[in-house]
Amino acid sequence: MMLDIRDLHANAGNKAILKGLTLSIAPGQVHAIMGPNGSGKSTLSHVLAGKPGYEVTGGTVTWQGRDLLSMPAEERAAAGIFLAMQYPVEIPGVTTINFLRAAVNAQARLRGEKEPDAVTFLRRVKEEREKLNMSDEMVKRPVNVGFSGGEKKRNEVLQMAILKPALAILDETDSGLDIDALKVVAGGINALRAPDRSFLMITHYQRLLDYIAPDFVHVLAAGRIVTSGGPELARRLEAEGYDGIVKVA
Amino acid sequence: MSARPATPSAARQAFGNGLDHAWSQAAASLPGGDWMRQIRADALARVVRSGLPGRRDEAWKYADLANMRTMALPLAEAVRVPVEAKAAVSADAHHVSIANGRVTQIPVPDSLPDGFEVLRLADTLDVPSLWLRPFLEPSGSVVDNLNLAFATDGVLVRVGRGMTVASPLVVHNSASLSGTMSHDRSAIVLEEDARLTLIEITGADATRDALATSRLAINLGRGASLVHIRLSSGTQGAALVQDGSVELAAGARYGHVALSRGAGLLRQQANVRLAGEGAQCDIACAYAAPGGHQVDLSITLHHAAPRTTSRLLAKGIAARKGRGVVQGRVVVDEAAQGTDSHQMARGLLLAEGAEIFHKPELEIYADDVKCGHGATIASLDPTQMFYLQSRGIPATEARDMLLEAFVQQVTDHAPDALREDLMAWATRHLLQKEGHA
Repeated sequence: MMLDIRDLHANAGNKAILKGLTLSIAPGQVHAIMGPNGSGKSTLSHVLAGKPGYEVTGGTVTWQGRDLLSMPAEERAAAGIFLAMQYPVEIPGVTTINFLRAAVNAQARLRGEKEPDAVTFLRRVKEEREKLNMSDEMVKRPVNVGFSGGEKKRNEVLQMAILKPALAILDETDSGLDIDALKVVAGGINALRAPDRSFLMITHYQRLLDYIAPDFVHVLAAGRIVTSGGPELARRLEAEGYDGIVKVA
Repeated sequence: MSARPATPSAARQAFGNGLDHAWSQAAASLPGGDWMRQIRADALARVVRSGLPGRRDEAWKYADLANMRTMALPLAEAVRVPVEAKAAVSADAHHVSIANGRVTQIPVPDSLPDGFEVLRLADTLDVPSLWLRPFLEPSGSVVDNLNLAFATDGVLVRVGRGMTVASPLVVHNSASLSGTMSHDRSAIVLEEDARLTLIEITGADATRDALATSRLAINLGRGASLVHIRLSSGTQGAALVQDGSVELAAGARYGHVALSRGAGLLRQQANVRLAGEGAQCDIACAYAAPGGHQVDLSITLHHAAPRTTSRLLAKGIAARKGRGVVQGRVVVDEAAQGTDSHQMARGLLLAEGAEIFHKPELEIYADDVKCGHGATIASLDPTQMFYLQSRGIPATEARDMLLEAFVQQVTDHAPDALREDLMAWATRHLLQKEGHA
């Protein structure tokens, strides 16, 4: 297993949010976690990425044999975990291209690798941004400043493409996107599917799964996974709503 | 600044006596003929009457010069100037050096293009000359009067009508002053349509009580344009007060970028008067106040003519026990219809126990004006920090990136050719690690 979550309990503030979540993801697999508002979807993604403000009160998370929860956020990134955020942050004064370069170099240093030379780096950024229909001007602007919702999500996918994570966590990547933007973003993600790369998609709606086909679908309710299945589970959720499924489970 | 009501305090008396004593000791060595001596004596009398400014003066609400034991210090001796400061500017330039209030280096007249004059103040004070007069009439501020009484030297710069000086004029001003004080006084005159870039690099160094004042009067003729860059730093023992006035005729432009680091007190006060129609000024300041240091920017923008424009951006970083103050006062005369003014102050507190004060003031007597102001004070944004870290950038590097970005929005106001040098200076002096502690 690449990612192994066992009986994970976590608080946000003093409130228990995750209450015994167990999930395993193998290389190359695409998992979708669906659930109603307040079920703990975003908490799960934040705890995995190492965002401050959460307290793990029980359970373990093992990533490629290492104790993920003991690693600071930057080490998790260098170890191949990437969180595409629901609300990408604006950083005035830092251009996307410099941000990407700093990230690539920092990850290389943390892994004890050589930093890629500038020419190679710039060529890769050009290739990847063109696939996402992003202009040169966009990557020279401050990170996400003045970007539309769709542009911010494309910028997340661009970062993912450059950083080549082993596990990409997509937190509500479809939220705020119109259908055209969703197609571009989903196309970018699909292009990154690979036998050594796993995805954990967190979403409220089935819509995203029409464009990125999952291998497994899990339903999260009240901080734990209540049922799991294949893509057909997502379609059942769409038809019956969370209430029916969560109650049956 | 109005004189305070006389207080009977012995401290006031001691201050007056001390200052008189310091002046009587210094007077013989101060440059200038009898006429100048009288001007100095009058200025001194005004300082003794009003006392040094402190908390009771609105303009000095946050920075107490009276409370700093700087009164009655002897004048600093002349010293040789350290030259390493030159490295801060990579471009070709005309260099002036001032050390402890005396000019130690100045371009020889033959090296300057016709119409561009750079003179020593001390060389010009023997006989009263008419064109000097405006710079010897104090603005009324106590610091200006104190400076006038004791000024040992400075530079007088004139750029003739229609002339563009291609290389910047760089003034290196260093003071090394434990237990002493120094005062320099300079003036810059740009005649009609003249252009100049002035770069001031000022360092005040003291291990104990010391006061340096630096007075700069700028007069911009019709359509003239001055880019004024100022890099200032001081150590904890030093009080450094930079007192400036800028007068803009119609269509003149004043662009000012100031980067400042610390000092026991680093006070930058300026009075900018947009006196001619369509005059424009753009002031951008970034400062860092490390622990035990205090930076106080007090700027008055006086719109006295129609359709004048002013912009003020001040960004400050304060560490634990560091203090930053930004006072931005905008006055719009009744005649100044169509004024367009905006000021923004942003403060970043790096730790508990850091202090930043913002005090915008607007006095508007015209009705057709656009005057905006804004102020923010915050810590580094944890969501930005996490965003950078989640991409693999370690916390210390992420913090440096955010601080650099914060300051860069100020250096971006400088001409392209100077930005890199300014950012390098800022990284070294404003963002150095000890400044974060």
